[in-house]
Amino acid sequence: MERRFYNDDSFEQFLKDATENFRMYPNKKVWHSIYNNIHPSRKWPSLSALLLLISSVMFIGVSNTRQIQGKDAAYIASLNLQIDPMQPHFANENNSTSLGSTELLLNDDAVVNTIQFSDYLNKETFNEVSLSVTEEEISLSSDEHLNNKGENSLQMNGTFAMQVFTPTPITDELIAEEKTPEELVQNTSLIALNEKDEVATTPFVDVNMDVESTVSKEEMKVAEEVIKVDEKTNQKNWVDEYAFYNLKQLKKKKNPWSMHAYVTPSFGYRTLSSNANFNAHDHLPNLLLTNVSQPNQELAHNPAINFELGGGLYYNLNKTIRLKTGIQMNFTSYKINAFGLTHAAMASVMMNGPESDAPMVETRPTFLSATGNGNEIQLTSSTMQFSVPIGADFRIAGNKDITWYAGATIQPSYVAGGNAFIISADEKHYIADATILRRFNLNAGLETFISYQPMKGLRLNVGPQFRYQLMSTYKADYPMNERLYNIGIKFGITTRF
Amino acid sequence: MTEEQMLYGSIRQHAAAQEALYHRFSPRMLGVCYRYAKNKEDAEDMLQEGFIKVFTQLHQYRGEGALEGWIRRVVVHTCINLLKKNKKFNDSVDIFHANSLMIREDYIPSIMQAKQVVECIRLLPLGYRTVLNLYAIEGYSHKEIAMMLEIEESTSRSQYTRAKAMLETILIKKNILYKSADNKKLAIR
Repeated sequence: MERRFYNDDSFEQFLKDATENFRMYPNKKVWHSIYNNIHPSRKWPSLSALLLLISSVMFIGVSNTRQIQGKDAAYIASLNLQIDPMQPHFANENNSTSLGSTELLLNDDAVVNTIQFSDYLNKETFNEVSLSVTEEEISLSSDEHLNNKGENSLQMNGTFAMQVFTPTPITDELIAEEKTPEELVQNTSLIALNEKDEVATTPFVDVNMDVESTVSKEEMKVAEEVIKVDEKTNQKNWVDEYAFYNLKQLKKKKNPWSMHAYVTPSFGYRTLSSNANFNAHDHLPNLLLTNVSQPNQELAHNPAINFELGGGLYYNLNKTIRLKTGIQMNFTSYKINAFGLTHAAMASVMMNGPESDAPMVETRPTFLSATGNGNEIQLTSSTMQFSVPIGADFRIAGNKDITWYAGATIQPSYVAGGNAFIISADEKHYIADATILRRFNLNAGLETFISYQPMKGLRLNVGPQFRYQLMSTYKADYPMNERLYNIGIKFGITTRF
Repeated sequence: MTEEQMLYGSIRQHAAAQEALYHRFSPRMLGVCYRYAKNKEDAEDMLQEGFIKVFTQLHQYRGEGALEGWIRRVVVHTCINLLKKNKKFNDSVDIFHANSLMIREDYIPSIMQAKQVVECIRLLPLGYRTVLNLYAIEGYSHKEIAMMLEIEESTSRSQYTRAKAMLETILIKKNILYKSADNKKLAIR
């Protein structure tokens, strides 16, 4: 025995040598999965081919059904034959004396069987009605009418008889009636096969051979086994040829869910518009009201830093659209220039009354002046909101690494707190009153961003965002509508599950 | 089809070339994956992922070294990544506790000659096996292995030493190797 010694240093070499030529053969479906993955668009041709195949089969089936239902229906009905198409049909051996032959019905699978008996075909003893046919004719008739698969290259030298089944009940009845061979021949319409004969009218063809003494039951069993094996082989081939190309589960489906988190620093602004359901000049001229028809221009403010923090889920509907939701916190603010008073002043505030044209007037003390009396200070009007953004992102362009998206959300919001400063009726004083804030609000967000994938499963997103408050910051009884809006840059991160 | 035709055809996304390339190298690559995987199904998953990477990154192959070597590196890295990422592998990629495991002799199945050594390697705990595969067979250094598996370099060394000892024991029990009279040399039968 040849021995190769390895010391400790060459143990690695031994392992390399031992495993170098180790090979395993992967399942076919591995390649199909790889192919589907690297050529996703080429799955369609195979699908089309399958549809074409199915259509063809259906067309052929319908055509054959019509043919049978038409001119051959009566003929087929009159046959009254009980024939198992998957089994070779041999006449009763007793009948061979009357027929002078053993009948072997050819069908799809029995052709292989006939090859097994090719030895016998050279020993044929033809009956009186046997007609000579050539090997070529047998192949032709087999291909066209027996629907064989090219395996039926019968290696027959010489001649044999082709017999056509007729409405005559099969052999058992023949035996029971003990008909003579001549009678049987009369009941059996034989169609001669030669170069000019049309064989299309032969629904079943029977090879009439004189093998009575040689075809044993054991051989018949062997023939049946061969047919069964062939059937299984056909089914396996079908699976190999078609099924694996169309197995949907072979392709790994990506998880449509992903998580995202983001932060958006922004600048916060406001817009003001009248919400009064009364005419202040008509009802309260003694308040020395100024013109409050354009509050947005008359009441200046300065933007302030806002921020947004949120996270949630994406659900990819398809390659273009993904839905998103989550939870988000927004801090909104803007600045108001005011002056601090050393002594409290009384300010009149008009609020919408229960009647449409009659305001309610409230007088409140305040240390905040809107005009230039006192120390200049900046008031910060702010809210803290918690929202549930619901929206979608649309993929505009890009590839796997860099993608451009546009998105929109609607954001039902709860205002947890904040500072609010309302203006007096004469626009000379501010009054701090956080109770005027509306608790539930609605915001909308628009954004566009670039999404970059630095590593698989992780994406970084950055882009501008515009957020607009759809309902007023204040309750309905305050005669001004304030709508906040933010313009900022959103930074986000997205990870797959 | 020559290897060059397969290479350039595959880069141009020609399906026939890709299939030829796959059939040329997949048996050996599956053998590689099998040494890392839990079973043949997992090995086929690794092979699939590996060849997808091969076909998508084939343009990066610069012709430096054999194509098979490049494919093998991609496949090995895919195996390692899957071992690290896949939870079902993480449960058993416990390099630090693997030294407490012992292989009972009755666990060693009867193995056919052709697969003897590979099957013996696969009897090792996954952590041992991974280090041994990477160091002894793939030829990575302990430093590279430490980076790939995100472990200390010293851990890689110690795991390899234990893996080697355990594998020698298994190979001797299976009568594939035996020790010489001086108890120092190993010989293959």
